[in-house]
Amino acid sequence: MKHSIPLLAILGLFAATATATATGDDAADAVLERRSFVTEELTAAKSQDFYLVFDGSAPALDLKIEGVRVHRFALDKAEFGQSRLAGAGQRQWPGVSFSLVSEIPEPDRPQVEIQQADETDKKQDESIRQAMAKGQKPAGELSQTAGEKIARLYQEDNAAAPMTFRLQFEPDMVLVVRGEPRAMDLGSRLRRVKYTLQEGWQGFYLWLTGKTVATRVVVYLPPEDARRLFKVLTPEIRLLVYAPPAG
Amino acid sequence: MTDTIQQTEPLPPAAEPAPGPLMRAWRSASVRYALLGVAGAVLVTLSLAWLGGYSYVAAADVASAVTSDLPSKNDLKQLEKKMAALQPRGVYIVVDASQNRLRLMKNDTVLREAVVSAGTGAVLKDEKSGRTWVFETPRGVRVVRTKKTNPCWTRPDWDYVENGEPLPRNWRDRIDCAALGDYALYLGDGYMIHGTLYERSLGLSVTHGCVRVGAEDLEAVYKAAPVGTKVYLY
Repeated sequence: MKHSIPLLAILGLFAATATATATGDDAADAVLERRSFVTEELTAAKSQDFYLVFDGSAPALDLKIEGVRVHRFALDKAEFGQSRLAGAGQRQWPGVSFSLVSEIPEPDRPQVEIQQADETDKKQDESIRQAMAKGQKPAGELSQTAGEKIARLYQEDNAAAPMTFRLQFEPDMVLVVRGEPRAMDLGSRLRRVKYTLQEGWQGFYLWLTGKTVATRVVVYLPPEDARRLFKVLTPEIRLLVYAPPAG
Repeated sequence: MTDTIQQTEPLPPAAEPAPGPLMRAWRSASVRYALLGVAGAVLVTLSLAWLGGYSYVAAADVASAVTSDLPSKNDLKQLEKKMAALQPRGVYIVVDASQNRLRLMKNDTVLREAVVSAGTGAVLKDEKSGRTWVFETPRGVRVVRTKKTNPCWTRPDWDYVENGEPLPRNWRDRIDCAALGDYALYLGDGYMIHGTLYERSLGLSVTHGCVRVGAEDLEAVYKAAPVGTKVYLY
């Protein structure tokens, strides 16, 4: 008993020192991580272009410009994947800042049909405009504008945006966006199985042909948000990864 | 009374049920090998898919890539200060052009959200002059340059072309003091946030690039956003 007290004290001191060192290391890591991220974000913010910030802890994808968040895409799930063949296990982001290399298709632009309004419509529109300019309540309704006639096409173009797509970034990283309903039906489950199989074969093929199998991030969000995300992409948009140390 | 053991004739062996078509096929060696081959191929294909596939973890559990070659003067506090300096000081406006929404914001908080109309993204071609216009709300950052009450609009050429009208000779004939509603916030290059005669179309992409706002919301935005207010359009 006599000897065990100093021994216990030494052990206690050792444990306390180890804990303090670990905490200190974590804090230093957090500072270093934050500094890396803020440095990259400052560069992106000064570019005056839109950029995306992936926050794994939220999880969310933020659309930002000049450091101001203009839209947040809340993610249902975000997964980080590494090829088994390429030696999965090193759970570290391959960088802080990435640049989109996938091409963004130009939107379909409908053509405005030149109005051929008849004289009666034109006269009525003019009388309404004059009444409103005088602050009076006009009688009747303005005829349909060219913009109103094609508004439906814009909505159709929005609805036609893909809800599942794959974006290649540089340095080598792939962001897979999967717009899936929260309550998965059989069809969605089968699509996920099909996707997993395709992903595996593709990975195997890449490995066979000696190509790099890029790190892959898969984000799941509701289909309408995925379409919306697709619409805000710009060529070479930057993606910044914010990964604060866990805990 | 004597017990008599009656000798009975042994029962004939039970007739085997006739094999079904599957069993008959299985008995055929070639079919058996073919089926085993198919099963093997499926197994190999699935194994390859698994092997070539990815091992996933929650993205939150992944360590960051810290770049160690950062310049030493970039002290974290200083960097954070620079980042904070980028945030707009007062109110700012965010326009979601594809969802036709305008948000009046301050410190990341939505003060007011309005249903608006943004650009159609359509193209107008004038066959006579060969000119082309794209009616899209510009994406990016702009600033409220000037503000006006009871604004008048000088109708540009495209408005006449679109309406199949001849271009007026006198610029005074282009003035329209009804189209823009009660207020206008000018964003440069002819783009504005303004009112509309067509409140029925709010929520739809019907404009030539400007942002049309309903009368009530427009008044609130006009009063809250001074000249110099940042406008983020996406």
